[in-house]
Amino acid sequence: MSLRLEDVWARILQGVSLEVDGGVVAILGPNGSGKTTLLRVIAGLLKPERGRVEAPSRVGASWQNPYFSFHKQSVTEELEEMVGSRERALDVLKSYGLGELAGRSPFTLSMGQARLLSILLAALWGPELVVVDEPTSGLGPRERGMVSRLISSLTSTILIATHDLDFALEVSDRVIVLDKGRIVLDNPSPEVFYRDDLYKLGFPRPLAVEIGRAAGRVVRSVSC
Amino acid sequence: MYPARARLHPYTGILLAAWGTASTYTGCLVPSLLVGLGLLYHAGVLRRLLPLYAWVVVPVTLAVGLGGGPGEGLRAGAGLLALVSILSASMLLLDPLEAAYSLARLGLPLMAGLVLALVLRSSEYMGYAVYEARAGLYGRGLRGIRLLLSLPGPLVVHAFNLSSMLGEALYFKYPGRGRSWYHRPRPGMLDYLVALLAAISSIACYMGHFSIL
Repeated sequence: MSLRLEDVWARILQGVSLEVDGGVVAILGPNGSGKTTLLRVIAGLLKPERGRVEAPSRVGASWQNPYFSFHKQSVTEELEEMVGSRERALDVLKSYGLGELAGRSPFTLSMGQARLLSILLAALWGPELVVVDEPTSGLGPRERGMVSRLISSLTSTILIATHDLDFALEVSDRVIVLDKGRIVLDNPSPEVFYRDDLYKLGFPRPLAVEIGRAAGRVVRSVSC
Repeated sequence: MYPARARLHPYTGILLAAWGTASTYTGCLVPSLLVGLGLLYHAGVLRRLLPLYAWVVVPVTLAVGLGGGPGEGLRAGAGLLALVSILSASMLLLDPLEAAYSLARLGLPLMAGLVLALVLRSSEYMGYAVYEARAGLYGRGLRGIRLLLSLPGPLVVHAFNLSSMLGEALYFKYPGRGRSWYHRPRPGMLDYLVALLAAISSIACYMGHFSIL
């Protein structure tokens, strides 16, 4: 899988150049910085006004409103469409701890459950790249942990747009920071979280980093 | 919906639609094309609408062109483009609340004005919801006809959920109070300009200019 963007201009994006070869890449930035626009360009839903995009033909996506990804009557039927059989769909649900949702309508799921199902649907049809927009917004700590485990278990290349630094530190291999449509920082994770460049841009320091600094070692997540 | 400078008085909108249709029907295409596209450009929506127009106009141009020759096809395509641009301009440049007021004043049932106001007010949001649903289904690998067939599901559920949330929000925002749903419109410079252009081009058409028939 290879993703390459060269001098891409689209809506708020101003000359974004980027190359991704694999792993989990977190795109950080404040509201309106162009994270979602960048993902839409990569997913092929938005044509750039200028620049070149070389993206895989199969890009899975889970957007901010997960309910727009559903169109079947039950959670099992949604997954059945992806994996081919009811038995495999039930196995997938059980393996992610969602077995009790099997018969429910996807539209009645809580935000956390819907988010998990939406990410599963985006990842299970065999895309080379999966983009996930704000996977933790509106989630409680339990659902957040489940989303984190799900993303870590996926084998495809994943791009996550978020402003949740704790989450990005937990799951990402690389961090790209967008501000006003431009890339202002592009570094491997978790080193970037232990340097000051990120916090000079106004981001709050994650709790794991504070603890890691005090302990003198790299800490990626804190669980209670 | 659009900046105030881009709005038409509802009566201007109705008359513009009637004039544009008559003008196109009589083969006087150039003025209605110019006025329709000009108004949409003025409202800043022309670029967004052109791809949609292409879907409507290009197949008709090709189909008529294949049957009756290229000249006939171009005439049919230009006529259709003139018609859709004038009708879009006369609908999209209305303020929904002013349209509701004017329709009620014309003697139409209040419900007709209310429905029109609701449709016009929510059209932009409906466009957003269709885009988001398309993006959601596209992200799970659905393409082409399968994507189109699956679109109504999430959209209908979303519409019900949204109306329920809006109902609750309005109840708590305005407990026990009705809401006014119309505004009295006032004609502006754009209305006078459109009327002047329509009058001049109609006279010119009558005298034999602009006609491509």
